[in-house]
Amino acid sequence: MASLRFSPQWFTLVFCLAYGAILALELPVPGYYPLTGRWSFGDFSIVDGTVMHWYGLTFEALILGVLAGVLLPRRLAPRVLGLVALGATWALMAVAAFLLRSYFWG
Amino acid sequence: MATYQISNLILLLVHGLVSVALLGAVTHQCVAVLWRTDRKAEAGFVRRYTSVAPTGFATAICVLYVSNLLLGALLYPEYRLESRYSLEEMRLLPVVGAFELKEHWGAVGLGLLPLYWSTWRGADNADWTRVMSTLTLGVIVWFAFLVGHVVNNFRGV
Repeated sequence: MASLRFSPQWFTLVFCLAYGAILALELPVPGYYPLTGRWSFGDFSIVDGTVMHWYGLTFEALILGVLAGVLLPRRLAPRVLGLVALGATWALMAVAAFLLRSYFWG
Repeated sequence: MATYQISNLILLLVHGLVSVALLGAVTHQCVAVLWRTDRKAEAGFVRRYTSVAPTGFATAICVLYVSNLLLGALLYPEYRLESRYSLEEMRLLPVVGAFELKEHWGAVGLGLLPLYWSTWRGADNADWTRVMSTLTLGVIVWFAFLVGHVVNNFRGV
C-alpha cells in the first residue's frame, strides 16, 4: 500500500493563509449557537443568542491545509517553504492581535 | 450544584492539568534548543536541565497540545454563555480580548504542529525552522496558560 504523501510545510502555510483571510475578510464559516446547540452556515436570520465562529473558522482552515498538504508538491524546496510557513505563522499571530486591538485600546 | 456544572468543573481541572504538563514539556524543549550543552555534563541543575534530549518531547507535546485544544473547545461554549457576559458587564474588555487572542493563537499553534513535528524528525540540530517553530509554540503555550489563568481568576466557568 502506498504511503500517504503529506507536506507539513504546505499544510502550515495554507492553514495560516486561509485562517488569516477568513478572519480578516469575515468570510462565511459554520456558526455554532451554544444556547440552543444549533449549527448554521451563513444563515443570518437565526436569532438563537450568541453565535460562535471559532470552530467553523478552525475547521475550514484545517480542511484547506490538509488538502494543500496532500495535493501540493512535497519536494518543492521544503526548507525554504518551511521558513515561509513559519513567517506566515508569525504574520497570522500579528494579524489576529491587530484585529482585536479595540479590546485593548477601545 | 447541577450536573453540567460538575462536569464543567472536572473538564476545567483536567484542562488545567494537561496544560501544566504541556507547559513543562514545551518549556524544557525551548530551553534545550536555546542552550545546547554537552549531554555528559553532570554539574548543576541548569546544566542537567539543558542537557535533556529534546527530540523525545516532540510527539508528547503534539499529543498534549491537541488534547488540550479539544478540552478547551469543549469548555468554550460555557465561557461564551456564562463568563464572557460577566466580564463584559464588568467592563473588563482587555481580559475578553486576551481570551479571544488566546483562541486564535491556539488555532495558529494547531496549524504549526505538523511543521514543528516534522522538523524534530530530521537530524539537523541547527535547523533554524526547528528552533523557531519550537520557540513559537512555547510563546503560544505560555500565553494561553497565563491568559486562561487570569480569566479563570476573574470569572471562571
